[in-house]
Amino acid sequence: MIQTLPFSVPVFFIAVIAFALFSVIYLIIAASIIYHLRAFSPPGRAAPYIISTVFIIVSCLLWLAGLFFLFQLPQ
Amino acid sequence: MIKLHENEHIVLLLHKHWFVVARTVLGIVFMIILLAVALPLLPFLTDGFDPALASAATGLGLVVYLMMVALFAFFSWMDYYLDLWIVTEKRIIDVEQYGLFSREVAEIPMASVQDVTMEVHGVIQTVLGFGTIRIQTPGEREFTIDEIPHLGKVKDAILDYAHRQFEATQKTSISV
Repeated sequence: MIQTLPFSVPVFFIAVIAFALFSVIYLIIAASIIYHLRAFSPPGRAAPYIISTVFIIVSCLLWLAGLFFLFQLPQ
Repeated sequence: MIKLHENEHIVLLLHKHWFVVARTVLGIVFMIILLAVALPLLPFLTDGFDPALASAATGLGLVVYLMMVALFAFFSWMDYYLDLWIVTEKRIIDVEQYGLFSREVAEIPMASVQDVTMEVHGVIQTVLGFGTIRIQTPGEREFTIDEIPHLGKVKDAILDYAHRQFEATQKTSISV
């Protein structure tokens, strides 16, 4: 038997708000880490730039995947 | 940004030994293994729910989990990378990073280095070749560099540059 959630629970809207909140917190922490790496790394080192770029690309891909699944939720 | 003086070059740039960060790396590996173990169980957990809702919610949950793992890994790497010691010809700079928005920078001029002690404690430190370096400066202040590799090389480099700085200072004071 397939269980369905009660009609009164707006799953999609709750998920949108939760994901938006998560994204904002994620963005703040990620931006802080990148700022620290740019500001306090020893001069002439490429590692912070490379790792930051890889992290940004991975994060963007995961965020887009999250957005995809978010809009798959029944509205 | 750590700014170097004019005609100053980095002689050694030291991070903690990899063994110290192995615990964090193991934690990240464990988080990924946990996900790999949980994935085959997910269909049983969502059994009986609307398939569209279950599939989308599972996908969203996985993505959020992976984003958290990626953020934790990135944060851990930053914490490791910014915790460093810079040895130049003129000074030793100790940068301690305590998470986000908290850091401590201390430096001692090479000319004030009086004594350098190298310490290795226990089997792990002996086998993997890392330990502590203590630098004695005037005024009973002790400067400690913990859990770093290549102890002998670091000690020799510090003593060598401290000796050169001391000689340069002596020459300047004699000529004056």
